Amino acid sequence: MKKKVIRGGVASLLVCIILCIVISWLDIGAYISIIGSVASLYGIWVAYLQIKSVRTVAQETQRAVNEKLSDLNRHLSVVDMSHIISMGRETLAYLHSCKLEIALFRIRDFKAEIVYLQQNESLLDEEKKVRLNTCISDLGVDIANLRANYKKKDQISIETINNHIEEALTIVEGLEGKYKYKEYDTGKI
Amino acid sequence: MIPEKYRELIEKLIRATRQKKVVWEQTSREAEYKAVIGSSMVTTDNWDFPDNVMNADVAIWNSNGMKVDSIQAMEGTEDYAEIMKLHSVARASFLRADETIADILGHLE
Repeated sequence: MKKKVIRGGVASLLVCIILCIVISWLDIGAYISIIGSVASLYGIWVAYLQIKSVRTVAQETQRAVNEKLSDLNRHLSVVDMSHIISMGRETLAYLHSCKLEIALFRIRDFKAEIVYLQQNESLLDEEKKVRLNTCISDLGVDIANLRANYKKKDQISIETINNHIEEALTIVEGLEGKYKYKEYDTGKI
Repeated sequence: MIPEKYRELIEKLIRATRQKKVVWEQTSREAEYKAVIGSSMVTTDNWDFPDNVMNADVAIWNSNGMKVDSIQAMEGTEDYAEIMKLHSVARASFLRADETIADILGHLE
Protein backbone atom coordinates (compact mmCIF):
# COMPACT_ATOMS: atom_id res chain seq x y z
CA MET A 1 0.00 0.00 0.00
CA LYS A 2 2.71 2.47 1.05
CA LYS A 3 4.82 1.56 -1.97
CA LYS A 4 1.85 2.05 -4.28
CA VAL A 5 1.15 5.51 -2.81
CA ILE A 6 4.81 6.56 -3.26
CA ARG A 7 4.83 5.16 -6.80
CA GLY A 8 1.61 7.05 -7.52
CA GLY A 9 3.16 10.26 -6.10
CA VAL A 10 6.33 9.92 -8.21
CA ALA A 11 4.25 9.17 -11.33
CA SER A 12 2.07 12.22 -10.68
CA LEU A 13 5.15 14.41 -10.24
CA LEU A 14 6.62 13.12 -13.51
CA VAL A 15 3.34 13.68 -15.36
CA CYS A 16 3.20 17.18 -13.89
CA ILE A 17 6.77 18.03 -15.01
CA ILE A 18 6.23 16.60 -18.50
CA LEU A 19 3.00 18.52 -18.95
CA CYS A 20 4.67 21.75 -17.74
CA ILE A 21 7.54 21.30 -20.21
CA VAL A 22 5.25 20.40 -23.12
CA ILE A 23 2.98 23.39 -22.61
CA SER A 24 5.65 25.74 -21.33
CA TRP A 25 4.30 28.57 -23.54
CA LEU A 26 1.23 28.91 -21.28
CA ASP A 27 0.97 31.54 -18.54
CA ILE A 28 1.32 30.96 -14.74
CA GLY A 29 -2.45 30.36 -14.32
CA ALA A 30 -2.30 27.36 -16.67
CA TYR A 31 0.62 25.93 -14.66
CA ILE A 32 -1.38 26.14 -11.46
CA SER A 33 -4.36 24.55 -13.17
CA ILE A 34 -2.26 21.62 -14.47
CA ILE A 35 -0.63 21.07 -11.07
CA GLY A 36 -4.08 21.17 -9.41
CA SER A 37 -5.52 18.61 -11.87
CA VAL A 38 -2.60 16.21 -11.37
CA ALA A 39 -2.84 16.63 -7.58
CA SER A 40 -6.58 15.78 -7.79
CA LEU A 41 -5.85 12.64 -9.85
CA TYR A 42 -3.22 11.63 -7.29
CA GLY A 43 -5.79 12.13 -4.51
CA ILE A 44 -8.30 9.91 -6.32
CA TRP A 45 -5.61 7.24 -6.78
CA VAL A 46 -4.78 7.28 -3.04
CA ALA A 47 -8.49 7.10 -2.12
CA TYR A 48 -8.97 4.11 -4.49
CA LEU A 49 -6.03 2.29 -2.89
CA GLN A 50 -7.43 2.92 0.59
CA ILE A 51 -10.90 1.62 -0.33
CA LYS A 52 -9.33 -1.48 -1.89
CA SER A 53 -7.25 -2.08 1.23
CA VAL A 54 -10.26 -1.70 3.56
CA ARG A 55 -12.28 -4.15 1.45
CA THR A 56 -9.46 -6.74 1.56
CA VAL A 57 -9.22 -6.41 5.35
CA ALA A 58 -13.01 -6.80 5.70
CA GLN A 59 -12.99 -9.93 3.50
CA GLU A 60 -10.15 -11.48 5.48
CA THR A 61 -11.92 -10.71 8.76
CA GLN A 62 -15.14 -12.29 7.46
CA ARG A 63 -13.26 -15.42 6.36
CA ALA A 64 -11.54 -15.70 9.75
CA VAL A 65 -14.90 -15.31 11.56
CA ASN A 66 -16.49 -17.99 9.33
CA GLU A 67 -13.61 -20.38 10.00
CA LYS A 68 -13.93 -19.85 13.75
CA LEU A 69 -17.69 -20.38 13.60
CA SER A 70 -17.19 -23.56 11.61
CA ASP A 71 -14.64 -24.83 14.17
CA LEU A 72 -16.98 -23.97 17.01
CA ASN A 73 -19.90 -25.67 15.29
CA ARG A 74 -17.83 -28.82 14.74
CA HIS A 75 -16.63 -28.82 18.33
CA LEU A 76 -20.18 -28.44 19.65
CA SER A 77 -21.35 -31.18 17.29
CA VAL A 78 -18.74 -33.59 18.66
CA VAL A 79 -19.98 -32.84 22.18
CA ASP A 80 -23.58 -33.41 21.00
CA MET A 81 -22.62 -36.69 19.36
CA SER A 82 -21.03 -37.98 22.59
CA HIS A 83 -24.27 -37.10 24.36
CA ILE A 84 -26.36 -38.91 21.70
CA ILE A 85 -24.14 -42.00 21.95
CA SER A 86 -24.46 -42.22 25.73
CA MET A 87 -28.22 -41.70 25.41
CA GLY A 88 -28.46 -44.50 22.82
CA ARG A 89 -26.46 -46.89 25.01
CA GLU A 90 -28.64 -46.06 27.98
CA THR A 91 -31.75 -46.80 25.87
CA LEU A 92 -30.26 -50.14 24.83
CA ALA A 93 -29.63 -50.99 28.49
CA TYR A 94 -33.28 -50.28 29.37
CA LEU A 95 -34.45 -52.42 26.46
CA HIS A 96 -32.14 -55.29 27.44
CA SER A 97 -33.54 -55.23 30.96
CA CYS A 98 -37.11 -54.99 29.52
CA LYS A 99 -37.84 -51.68 31.27
CA LEU A 100 -39.96 -50.65 28.32
CA GLU A 101 -41.65 -47.62 29.89
CA ILE A 102 -38.33 -45.92 30.65
CA ALA A 103 -36.93 -47.14 27.33
CA LEU A 104 -39.84 -45.41 25.61
CA PHE A 105 -38.92 -42.05 27.16
CA ARG A 106 -35.24 -42.45 26.35
CA ILE A 107 -35.84 -43.59 22.78
CA ARG A 108 -37.99 -40.48 22.21
CA ASP A 109 -35.14 -38.23 23.39
CA PHE A 110 -32.68 -40.26 21.37
CA LYS A 111 -34.75 -39.85 18.21
CA ALA A 112 -35.15 -36.10 18.83
CA GLU A 113 -31.36 -35.75 19.08
CA ILE A 114 -30.86 -37.74 15.89
CA VAL A 115 -33.37 -35.49 14.08
CA TYR A 116 -31.46 -32.46 15.40
CA LEU A 117 -28.17 -33.95 14.20
CA GLN A 118 -29.66 -34.68 10.78
CA GLN A 119 -30.49 -30.98 10.37
CA ASN A 120 -26.78 -30.12 10.55
CA GLU A 121 -26.09 -30.59 6.87
CA SER A 122 -22.44 -29.57 7.07
CA LEU A 123 -21.66 -32.74 9.05
CA LEU A 124 -23.36 -35.30 6.84
CA ASP A 125 -22.76 -36.58 3.35
CA GLU A 126 -25.66 -37.78 1.20
CA GLU A 127 -25.24 -41.47 2.09
CA LYS A 128 -25.26 -40.81 5.86
CA LYS A 129 -28.22 -38.49 5.48
CA VAL A 130 -30.25 -41.25 3.79
CA ARG A 131 -29.19 -43.82 6.42
CA LEU A 132 -30.04 -41.45 9.28
CA ASN A 133 -33.37 -40.69 7.65
CA THR A 134 -34.24 -44.41 7.60
CA CYS A 135 -33.15 -44.69 11.25
CA ILE A 136 -35.40 -41.77 12.21
CA SER A 137 -38.40 -43.33 10.43
CA ASP A 138 -37.71 -46.73 12.05
CA LEU A 139 -37.38 -45.16 15.49
CA GLY A 140 -40.64 -43.29 14.94
CA VAL A 141 -42.46 -46.56 14.25
CA ASP A 142 -40.69 -48.21 17.19
CA ILE A 143 -41.85 -45.42 19.52
CA ALA A 144 -45.44 -45.84 18.31
CA ASN A 145 -45.23 -49.61 18.78
CA LEU A 146 -43.67 -49.32 22.23
CA ARG A 147 -46.32 -46.80 23.28
CA ALA A 148 -49.15 -49.06 22.12
CA ASN A 149 -47.67 -52.34 23.37
CA TYR A 150 -45.32 -51.68 26.29
CA LYS A 151 -47.52 -53.80 28.54
CA LYS A 152 -47.63 -56.66 26.02
CA LYS A 153 -43.99 -57.43 25.48
CA ASP A 154 -44.71 -60.39 23.21
CA GLN A 155 -46.28 -58.04 20.66
CA ILE A 156 -43.06 -56.21 19.86
CA SER A 157 -39.64 -57.31 18.76
CA ILE A 158 -37.14 -55.78 21.17
CA GLU A 159 -34.37 -57.19 18.98
CA THR A 160 -35.57 -55.15 15.99
CA ILE A 161 -35.72 -51.95 18.07
CA ASN A 162 -32.19 -52.73 19.31
CA ASN A 163 -31.03 -53.09 15.72
CA HIS A 164 -32.50 -49.72 14.79
CA ILE A 165 -30.78 -48.02 17.73
CA GLU A 166 -27.51 -49.84 16.96
CA GLU A 167 -27.70 -48.70 13.35
CA ALA A 168 -28.20 -45.06 14.42
CA LEU A 169 -25.39 -45.41 16.98
CA THR A 170 -23.02 -46.81 14.35
CA ILE A 171 -23.58 -43.75 12.16
CA VAL A 172 -23.17 -41.27 15.04
CA GLU A 173 -20.07 -43.06 16.38
CA GLY A 174 -18.56 -42.96 12.89
CA LEU A 175 -19.24 -39.23 12.66
CA GLU A 176 -17.88 -38.57 16.13
CA GLY A 177 -14.68 -40.45 15.35
CA LYS A 178 -14.29 -38.63 12.07
CA TYR A 179 -14.65 -35.14 13.53
CA LYS A 180 -12.70 -35.84 16.70
CA TYR A 181 -9.82 -37.18 14.62
CA LYS A 182 -10.04 -34.20 12.26
CA GLU A 183 -9.81 -31.72 15.14
CA TYR A 184 -6.98 -33.63 16.78
CA ASP A 185 -5.15 -33.78 13.45
CA THR A 186 -5.30 -30.00 12.99
CA GLY A 187 -4.23 -29.44 16.60
CA LYS A 188 -7.47 -27.76 17.61
CA ILE A 189 -7.99 -29.95 20.65
CA MET B 1 -65.14 -45.46 3.95
CA ILE B 2 -61.54 -45.06 2.79
CA PRO B 3 -60.83 -41.52 1.51
CA GLU B 4 -60.12 -41.34 -2.22
CA LYS B 5 -56.47 -40.25 -1.76
CA TYR B 6 -55.83 -43.35 0.39
CA ARG B 7 -57.56 -45.60 -2.12
CA GLU B 8 -55.27 -44.22 -4.82
CA LEU B 9 -52.23 -44.60 -2.55
CA ILE B 10 -53.09 -48.23 -1.79
CA GLU B 11 -53.61 -49.06 -5.46
CA LYS B 12 -50.35 -47.40 -6.47
CA LEU B 13 -48.43 -49.10 -3.67
CA ILE B 14 -49.78 -52.52 -4.66
CA ARG B 15 -48.85 -51.91 -8.30
CA ALA B 16 -45.37 -50.59 -7.42
CA THR B 17 -44.75 -53.55 -5.09
CA ARG B 18 -45.72 -56.04 -7.81
CA GLN B 19 -43.37 -54.23 -10.20
CA LYS B 20 -40.63 -54.48 -7.51
CA LYS B 21 -40.35 -50.69 -7.37
CA VAL B 22 -41.22 -50.71 -3.67
CA VAL B 23 -39.66 -53.06 -1.14
CA TRP B 24 -41.30 -53.82 2.20
CA GLU B 25 -39.54 -54.72 5.44
CA GLN B 26 -40.72 -55.86 8.84
CA THR B 27 -40.87 -53.33 11.70
CA SER B 28 -40.61 -54.04 15.41
CA ARG B 29 -44.05 -55.68 15.19
CA GLU B 30 -44.30 -59.06 13.56
CA ALA B 31 -47.24 -58.22 11.30
CA GLU B 32 -46.29 -54.64 10.50
CA TYR B 33 -44.42 -53.82 7.30
CA LYS B 34 -42.79 -50.59 6.17
CA ALA B 35 -41.79 -49.19 2.83
CA VAL B 36 -39.43 -46.22 2.61
CA ILE B 37 -40.47 -43.96 -0.25
CA GLY B 38 -38.20 -40.95 -0.71
CA SER B 39 -37.74 -39.42 2.71
CA SER B 40 -41.15 -40.61 3.90
CA MET B 41 -42.44 -44.01 4.92
CA VAL B 42 -45.65 -46.04 4.70
CA THR B 43 -46.52 -48.80 7.14
CA THR B 44 -49.30 -51.35 7.18
CA ASP B 45 -50.20 -53.41 10.22
CA ASN B 46 -52.65 -56.19 11.12
CA TRP B 47 -53.53 -57.08 14.73
CA ASP B 48 -56.28 -58.50 16.87
CA PHE B 49 -57.68 -56.04 19.34
CA PRO B 50 -60.01 -55.92 21.18
CA ASP B 51 -61.82 -59.22 21.76
CA ASN B 52 -60.03 -61.02 18.94
CA VAL B 53 -61.44 -58.72 16.29
CA MET B 54 -58.85 -58.21 13.59
CA ASN B 55 -57.81 -54.68 12.68
CA ALA B 56 -55.69 -53.33 9.86
CA ASP B 57 -54.16 -49.95 9.19
CA VAL B 58 -52.11 -47.95 6.76
CA ALA B 59 -50.03 -45.11 8.17
CA ILE B 60 -47.91 -42.40 6.61
CA TRP B 61 -44.75 -41.15 8.35
CA ASN B 62 -42.80 -38.00 7.57
CA SER B 63 -39.03 -37.60 7.38
CA ASN B 64 -38.87 -36.83 11.12
CA GLY B 65 -40.42 -40.20 11.97
CA MET B 66 -43.77 -38.71 12.97
CA LYS B 67 -47.06 -40.28 11.99
CA VAL B 68 -48.70 -37.82 9.59
CA ASP B 69 -51.95 -39.66 8.99
CA SER B 70 -53.46 -43.13 9.08
CA ILE B 71 -56.56 -45.11 8.28
CA GLN B 72 -57.79 -48.08 10.24
CA ALA B 73 -60.53 -50.65 9.65
CA MET B 74 -62.06 -53.59 11.50
CA GLU B 75 -62.51 -57.10 10.15
CA GLY B 76 -65.72 -57.63 8.23
CA THR B 77 -65.81 -54.20 6.62
CA GLU B 78 -65.08 -53.36 3.02
CA ASP B 79 -62.26 -51.03 4.09
CA TYR B 80 -60.55 -53.86 5.98
CA ALA B 81 -60.48 -56.00 2.86
CA GLU B 82 -59.03 -53.08 0.91
CA ILE B 83 -56.24 -52.47 3.45
CA MET B 84 -55.55 -56.19 3.76
CA LYS B 85 -54.90 -56.36 0.01
CA LEU B 86 -51.95 -54.01 0.56
CA HIS B 87 -50.93 -55.83 3.73
CA SER B 88 -50.84 -59.18 1.92
CA VAL B 89 -48.77 -57.75 -0.91
CA ALA B 90 -46.41 -56.12 1.60
CA ARG B 91 -46.07 -59.40 3.51
CA ALA B 92 -45.35 -61.30 0.29
CA SER B 93 -42.77 -58.68 -0.66
CA PHE B 94 -41.03 -58.98 2.71
CA LEU B 95 -41.08 -62.78 2.64
CA ARG B 96 -39.97 -62.80 -1.03
CA ALA B 97 -42.89 -65.17 -1.62
CA ASP B 98 -42.86 -64.93 -5.43
CA GLU B 99 -39.12 -65.56 -5.67
CA THR B 100 -39.35 -68.48 -3.24
CA ILE B 101 -42.20 -70.13 -5.17
CA ALA B 102 -40.39 -69.52 -8.48
CA ASP B 103 -37.23 -71.05 -6.99
CA ILE B 104 -39.11 -74.14 -5.79
CA LEU B 105 -40.84 -74.53 -9.17
CA GLY B 106 -37.50 -74.08 -10.90
CA HIS B 107 -35.96 -76.89 -8.89
CA LEU B 108 -38.95 -79.17 -9.46
CA GLU B 109 -38.79 -78.86 -13.25
